[in-house]
Amino acid sequence: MEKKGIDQGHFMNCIESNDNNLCMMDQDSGTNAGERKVSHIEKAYVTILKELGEDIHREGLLRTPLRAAKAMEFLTKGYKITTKDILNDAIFDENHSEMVIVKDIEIFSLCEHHMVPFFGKVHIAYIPNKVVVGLSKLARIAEIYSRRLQVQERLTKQIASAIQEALEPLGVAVVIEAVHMCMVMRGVQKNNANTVTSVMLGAFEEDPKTRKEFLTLTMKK
Amino acid sequence: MTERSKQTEFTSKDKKETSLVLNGHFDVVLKRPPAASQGPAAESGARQSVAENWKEEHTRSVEDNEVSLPSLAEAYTTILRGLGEDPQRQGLLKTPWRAATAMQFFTKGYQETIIDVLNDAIFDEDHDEMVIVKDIDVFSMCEHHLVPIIGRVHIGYLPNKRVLGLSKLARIVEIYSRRLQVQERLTKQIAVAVTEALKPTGVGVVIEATHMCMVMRGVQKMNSKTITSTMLGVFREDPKTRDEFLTLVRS
Repeated sequence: MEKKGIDQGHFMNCIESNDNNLCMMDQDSGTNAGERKVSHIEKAYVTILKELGEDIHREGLLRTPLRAAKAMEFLTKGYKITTKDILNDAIFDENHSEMVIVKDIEIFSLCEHHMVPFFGKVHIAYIPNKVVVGLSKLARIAEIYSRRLQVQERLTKQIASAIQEALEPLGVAVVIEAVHMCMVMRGVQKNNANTVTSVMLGAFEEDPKTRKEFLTLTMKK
Repeated sequence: MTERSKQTEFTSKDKKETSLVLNGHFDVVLKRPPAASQGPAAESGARQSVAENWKEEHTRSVEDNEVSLPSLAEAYTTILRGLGEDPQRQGLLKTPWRAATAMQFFTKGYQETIIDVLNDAIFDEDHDEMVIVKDIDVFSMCEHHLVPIIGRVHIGYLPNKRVLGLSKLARIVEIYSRRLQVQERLTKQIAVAVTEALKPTGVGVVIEATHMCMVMRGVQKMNSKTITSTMLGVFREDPKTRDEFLTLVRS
């Protein structure tokens, strides 16, 4: 799978080389891999609730470990999907070489340092090189990479690279503006701070006018 | 540990009052206790013990935090592996400790008591018009999914010769919100705490919040907000007072 200088460390090899998508812990299990993984995470949540000083037998918390485990699995479901899976059919030949922008795509991700959500908007633009992609696929690519434990800088770059490799367009630009709960709910506790990251590839990087056009069209208030 | 056994004692005593005291959460709307019974050594009626328990509730200490950090970190390492991540990669090396400390911060309400926060800041003031502190940002954790709840609280009360330092209202909100919560219970706890501290003529609390468990997963409705309110005393009985409060909060 395309790694191209984006370092996800050991993980990418682990999940790609293994047919059943088993993580390191469950290499010995067979078809029960999915269920066992949830129950390991569930037990971890029971420990967490106890150590936080809560009463795990009170009514509101009885099924919380299961729900929290499933929620966490959902929030990291991007690990199990590849760009190839979602893009295969929706690439079309089209004689169009003007900028295509899909903006204000909501994304929700998890900060890999604190495991606390961060969420915001992605604006994606590309200049087709004879080949266009179904518009929702841009949003799906953003979903795959955001539903992981992420760092905003890496997320931006991964989305840009995925589009670059799939379409080989004349240029790709991705901008993410997000609010990080790890900064809002704890730590510095700054409510209104926004983090903006961007990646410009191809024509967007080389030509300031193209870049300016993109930024004007997407960053209007 | 002693606090927990105290908790069970109160639960059994209070059963006839249909109140449930668990870990400092209590799901009862207190009738105002008789004005005389303020001291700790007052009558041993169940109502008094619930009020006392409210003042003493906390199930965790700063030392407990340090002691539980390694097992919390280990639990988070298990979660990382279970999700298919590699806990040894550079970005995740210290994540279990950071996540554990973050979670302890998000539940620090268990370490604090109302009485610590309020003792000094109640003042005698001959004021009997509404006092409102609004747009207090509140961050809590959904107790069902362990995912954040983000919102705003508006608190109003009608003093009865006693007023509260304004930031203390925000501190009461902090104590109850930094826990595993349900929005309904949070609203009621704040209202009851203000009632118990000041014995005002009335208290109104409104919370509007976004639940990440609905936005990031499940139904995935981005713009939905949940609004809960608790009106006690004259806010409940007199529609005009309630109207005034709600109008001032909305403006």
